[in-house]
Amino acid sequence: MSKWRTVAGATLLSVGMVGAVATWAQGSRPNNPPALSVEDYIEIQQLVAHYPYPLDTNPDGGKSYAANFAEDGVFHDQHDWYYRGHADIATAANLDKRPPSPNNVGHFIFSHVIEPTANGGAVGHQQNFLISEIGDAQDGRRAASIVSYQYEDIYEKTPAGWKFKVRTHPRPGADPPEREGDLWRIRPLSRP
Amino acid sequence: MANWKKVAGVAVFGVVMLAIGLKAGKAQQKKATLTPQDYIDIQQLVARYPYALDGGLENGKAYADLFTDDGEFHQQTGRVWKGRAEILTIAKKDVETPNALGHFIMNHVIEPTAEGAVGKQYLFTISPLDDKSGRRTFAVTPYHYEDVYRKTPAGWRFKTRTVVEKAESTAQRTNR
Repeated sequence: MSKWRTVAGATLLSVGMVGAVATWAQGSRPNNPPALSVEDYIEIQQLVAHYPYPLDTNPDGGKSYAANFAEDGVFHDQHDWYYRGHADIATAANLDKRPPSPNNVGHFIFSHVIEPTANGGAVGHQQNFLISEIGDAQDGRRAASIVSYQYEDIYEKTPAGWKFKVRTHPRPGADPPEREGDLWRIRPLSRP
Repeated sequence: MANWKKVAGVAVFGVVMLAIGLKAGKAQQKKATLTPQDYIDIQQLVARYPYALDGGLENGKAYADLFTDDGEFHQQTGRVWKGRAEILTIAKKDVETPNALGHFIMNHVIEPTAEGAVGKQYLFTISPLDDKSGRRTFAVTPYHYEDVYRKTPAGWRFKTRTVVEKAESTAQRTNR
């Protein structure tokens, strides 16, 4: 009987120690971000896929472009200007006040990386070709200019779905804005 | 007493009809949705497209297999390839060119509809122009696609695909 007690005691002790070690190991992992669901990945992919359409076709003076951002979202452009909030971001999309051009295409975005963050959100980046046709057509074809650059994003899940919290568009060759963890240091909205 | 029975009968009938009506209305209002698997299948359908077209795989059959049997391919000019027999001619090549690259597709938006799904993408084509100083130059031409997808027993397929050229008069936006 006492042998059984010893075995049972040893077993309980072992199980307890394994549990304690597992808990300690789990707790000591630095900032394990919660996983994103498959639906989250698809929604964020679709957010980024939608992005160029209102930008290139300008259907409503920047309004539907701005709707891709959170209410207090920020767009940081390649001239180091910051636009914050829907009204300001709509201005950014409509700087040249061009009329709607439903068949225009320009921003070709690919290689979209998405990563979860510790606060339950996500960050991502992509590459982009900005393709513009230049000059007159020769033999039915026109020369094209291609400028390549990257986007760096912070995404936020809002009641209306995933939105851009911050989208930055560093000038090719320039350093991206300074970051603190998952956040960029956002400068005031003063314009050069 | 008979009157009460009549009134109660009519009331019960009315409540049952109201419940049926509300349920039917709710079902009609139900928003069309797609599962994650649907999104992935449709993304894969579009990803396969340029390989089948540029490579002329299986003598054009691989391309035609991406469409429903009654599928249609539309050019903005108004030309239409309708049904499998006509679509089989689009990517038909005497010799397959599996390493040929010509159609580059990006920005794939997918939206559910009551009948299936619709989608759009940006496309640019690259075609060789000439050799200058030993370096080959290429023409890059931008377009976009507009699609209607249908779920068939063999999986998601193009019901219609339309290629739309960028308007000639369109000035380019500044980059954002």
